Amino acid sequence: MNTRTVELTITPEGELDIQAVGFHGADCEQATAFLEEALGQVAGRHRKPERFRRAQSRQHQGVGG
Amino acid sequence: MPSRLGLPGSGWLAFNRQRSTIIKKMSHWTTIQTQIRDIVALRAACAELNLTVLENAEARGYGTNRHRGDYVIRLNGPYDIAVTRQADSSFTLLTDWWDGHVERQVGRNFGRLLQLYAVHKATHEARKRGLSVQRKLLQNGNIKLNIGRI
Repeated sequence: MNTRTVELTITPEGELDIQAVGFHGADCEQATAFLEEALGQVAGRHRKPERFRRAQSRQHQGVGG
Repeated sequence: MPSRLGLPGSGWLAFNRQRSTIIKKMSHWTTIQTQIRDIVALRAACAELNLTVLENAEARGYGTNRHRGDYVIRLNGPYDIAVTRQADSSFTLLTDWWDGHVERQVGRNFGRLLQLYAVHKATHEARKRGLSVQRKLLQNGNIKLNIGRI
């Protein structure tokens, strides 16, 4: 298997979800870095325990109304 | 007609770096805040929404209120969006949300505009690197970009 893609999903609210598929370790970070750089400012980064790897989660910070 | 609360002009609301998203990346999670920094991508997003971008113009607000922007997104309703460059070279969006005029054209909190901005910015950056981009509109309104090697 040698399919390496980056999947970027963008909601109608303008929220982003980036996922690197088929990458391992540092390659994964490298694959998405240019998009993070282009689309926003990295405000925080932290490592999650492996068991949360597949957890689906998204944080919404609704502002205004 | 709903009554307008507050003083004229109090409806101007700024947007800049207010949206945070958790990004999933293998076992890493990265919080990024979407920023508008590329006027070319913003123009492309506006073109897709059939909106015109003016340079160094005045945005129309409630009544006689006007707000000068480095750029102005001219909307079809009574109000516009002022786009102002900040010291860190990102852009702030400013508009009057009253009565849903602006929301109908660019989405709540500029959501639809930000969505298309991100689509065009990501597509441009990927192609610059010789990567292929496939764009797909999903039923729930999400846009998915598959970025890979050509």
